Amino acid sequence: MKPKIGVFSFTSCEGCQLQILNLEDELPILLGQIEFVNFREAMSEKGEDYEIAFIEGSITRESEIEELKKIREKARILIAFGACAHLGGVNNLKNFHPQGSWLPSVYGRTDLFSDTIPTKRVKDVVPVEFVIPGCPIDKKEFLRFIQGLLLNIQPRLPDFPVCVECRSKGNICLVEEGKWCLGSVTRAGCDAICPTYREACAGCRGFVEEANIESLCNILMQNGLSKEEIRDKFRLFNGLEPIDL
Amino acid sequence: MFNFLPMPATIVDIRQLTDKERLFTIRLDNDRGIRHRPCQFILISLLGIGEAPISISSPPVDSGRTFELCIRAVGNLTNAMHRLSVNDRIGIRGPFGNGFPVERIEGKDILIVAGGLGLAPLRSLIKYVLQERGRYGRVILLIGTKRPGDILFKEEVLKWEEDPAIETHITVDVAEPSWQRHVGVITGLFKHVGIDPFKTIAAIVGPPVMYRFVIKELLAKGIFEGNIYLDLERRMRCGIGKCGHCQINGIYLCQNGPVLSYLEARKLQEAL
Amino acid sequence: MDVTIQSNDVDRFIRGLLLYYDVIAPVARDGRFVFERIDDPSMASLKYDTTLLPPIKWIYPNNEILLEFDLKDITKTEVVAQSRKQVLTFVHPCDINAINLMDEVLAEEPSDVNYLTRRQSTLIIGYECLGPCRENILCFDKGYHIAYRGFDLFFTDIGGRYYVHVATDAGRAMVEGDGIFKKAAYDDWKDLMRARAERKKGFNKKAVEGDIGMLSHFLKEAYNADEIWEAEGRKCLSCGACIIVCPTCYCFDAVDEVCPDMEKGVRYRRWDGCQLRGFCKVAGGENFRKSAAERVRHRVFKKEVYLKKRFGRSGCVGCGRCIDSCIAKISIIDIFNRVMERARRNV
Repeated sequence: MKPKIGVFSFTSCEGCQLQILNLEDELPILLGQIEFVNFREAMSEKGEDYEIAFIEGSITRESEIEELKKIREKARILIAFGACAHLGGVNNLKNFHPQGSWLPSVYGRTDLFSDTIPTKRVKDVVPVEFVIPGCPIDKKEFLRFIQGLLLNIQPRLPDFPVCVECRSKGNICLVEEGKWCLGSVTRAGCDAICPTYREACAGCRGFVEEANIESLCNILMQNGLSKEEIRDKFRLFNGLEPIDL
Repeated sequence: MFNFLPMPATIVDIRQLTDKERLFTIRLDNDRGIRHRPCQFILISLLGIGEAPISISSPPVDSGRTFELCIRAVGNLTNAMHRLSVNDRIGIRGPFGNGFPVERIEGKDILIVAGGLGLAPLRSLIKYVLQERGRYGRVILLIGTKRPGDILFKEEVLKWEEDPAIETHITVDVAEPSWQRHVGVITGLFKHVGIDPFKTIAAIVGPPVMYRFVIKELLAKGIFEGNIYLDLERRMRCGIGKCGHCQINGIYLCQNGPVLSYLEARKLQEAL
Repeated sequence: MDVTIQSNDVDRFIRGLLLYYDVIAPVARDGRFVFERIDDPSMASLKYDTTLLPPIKWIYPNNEILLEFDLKDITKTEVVAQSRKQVLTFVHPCDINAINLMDEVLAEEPSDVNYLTRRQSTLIIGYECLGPCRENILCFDKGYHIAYRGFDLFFTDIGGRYYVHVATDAGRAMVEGDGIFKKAAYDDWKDLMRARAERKKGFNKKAVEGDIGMLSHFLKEAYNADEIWEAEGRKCLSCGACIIVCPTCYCFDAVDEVCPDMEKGVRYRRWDGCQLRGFCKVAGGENFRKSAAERVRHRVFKKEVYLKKRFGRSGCVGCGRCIDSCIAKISIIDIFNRVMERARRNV
């Protein structure tokens, strides 16, 4: 029996679903082993007989809470995939502003979306078995996850920070150059794609365990960032994580 | 030169020992024995999943071409092992490590202290010593586990309790109403055994917290530091003293261990 | 046998090498240098300061495949240990000394077939340092600014031309034939001596105060000096930069990767190291080196005490990469100095 998979989207850009579809070479082979029964971005059928549910997006409306709970009841395994589902993602930024105050600057009008609530992570609403982090997710990691499922093993995320992958590629360190980067406290697995293109790691994959935030904060202040600027950098993806600056 | 090729092997028997532990009997395809010493370990390979270090639980000459592995399901690989059945294939590298110096201790009394899963490697020593019974003096076995249901190799342990060749004492942390034996930490058993400190060799395997207390007790009884042997656990990864995971200060446990005398171990600050 | 080559003939020499070998050379990247495989001599920089990653990583590459396997049939597992013929060019003495040490470490039985296979297909052309190339280095303190062996050819800039020491038969084969190299004459040798006298002037500042020969001993005495290790541990991010850039770090983890068809797969090794949190964690959950302070101490001891005890010389070649790459500014020079100072205080 092929495992039946549903892919569901909540508040997000839906770019992580797209990453699954970007597995162009692997998907046809993979479909011999698994079956998608519900995957709005890829198919029109809406099967309800999934046992594994992939959840994309954060929860920002009451109606989404109910919807998510219904999925949880049906799914044996529920996976939060992508930074929005895992961490709240950039959507969490609105939590730091008075409710609705951001409507004019985002939408140019104030009469929309009056029913939104402060952003929640998936795990704030229902129990989550696994997480595939990243903004967007790494498609290879999704693939490894599916393979783990087929091999009946718990897929393991790297427990080391982005610096390991970044340095292994012989990159020049942005922090060494006096800039900011959160790679030293962020879980690896992205192959350090941002710093490889000379763009700072913004922490989209969440913190490593026992991240030494205090030390990084001191370093970034020496590089000329204010505490507020550093807090804003952390908040972009990790605003809902407990950070003590 | 050394490579990482696992030897193909077959599971020929599986026995459920407790809720979490199973005993696997393994035969190498090349029909050669594993040729190990007591307290050596092997690396099990499940292709696509990885490798994990497991102590060999059977004595060297017991069953000819097969050997036994007691496996607790804790990680990906060990859980996957528990899903395998008889006739399934696995890979084996090893044996690795120094093993227990069984020749050096001939003629001595042997005090074996097994905490929890520590009985798994020590069983190879116990059975070896019982096979070669004439070469050793007294054999004393102290076993400590959490609950009566956690006792490994229960049938054998019950037999050992009856066997005059080995003095067996068991304790559990948490007793059940039917439990007739000792209750409490393993060091509590020491008052029941009189030993001759000048003739006694101790072999200790257990969870990291156990060692310090047991060693203190043994030293207090007057046993020489060099006659106390420990089988330490670390993350054995490559088995060839290269990958670094099992390093304790200056030594690689997969090569220079896992059995160390306390005389050696106490010089290594990271050992205990 | 020693020869010389005119500076403007070096390109021709490299072009010749490119016909037979993968040529790995220092290449400029954003103001720093990296060892890269080049396909044109113009890419190489002979004048460079310590590269971001050491050249040994071409002999001990990340994600090197160890085994190829078939998930359904374990008997079809095959060892992968192969290498293309490569020349590491213009390698500084510190990095040559690091490779020399790794040759011993990884050839120690049971030896590492993957390293040895690549090493045997690798030629090394050294390049003499006539002065310190960066600020945070201690190669001079340790005598690792000079390499006595571990190369096939060794280049020294003697003004407009290079004095080339030919150390092996493979080296001889590289310089023979096409008339680029000339036999070294007495004047060349005199210029070499002059350059080396200048080198003595260039390397004149020790980074570590005191008798470096005693460092290992003093370190052992400072094992419990929490004022050093705890302070460094508080700064340490456990990001692993230092162990990735170190030319004498060789720890690894083995990882399985399966093809999408779930039939074939590989086991490869990934660089790993003692500064990472999970390095000593076992399946049961116990972590045998829990704190960053213990991990920093282990790294320093591994280089300066453990490797030294086993192989007779320090595992820190003084290249300074770990210092430059540490954003928390943990400096092994600084640690050594504090250990020495502590020893002086305690006398």
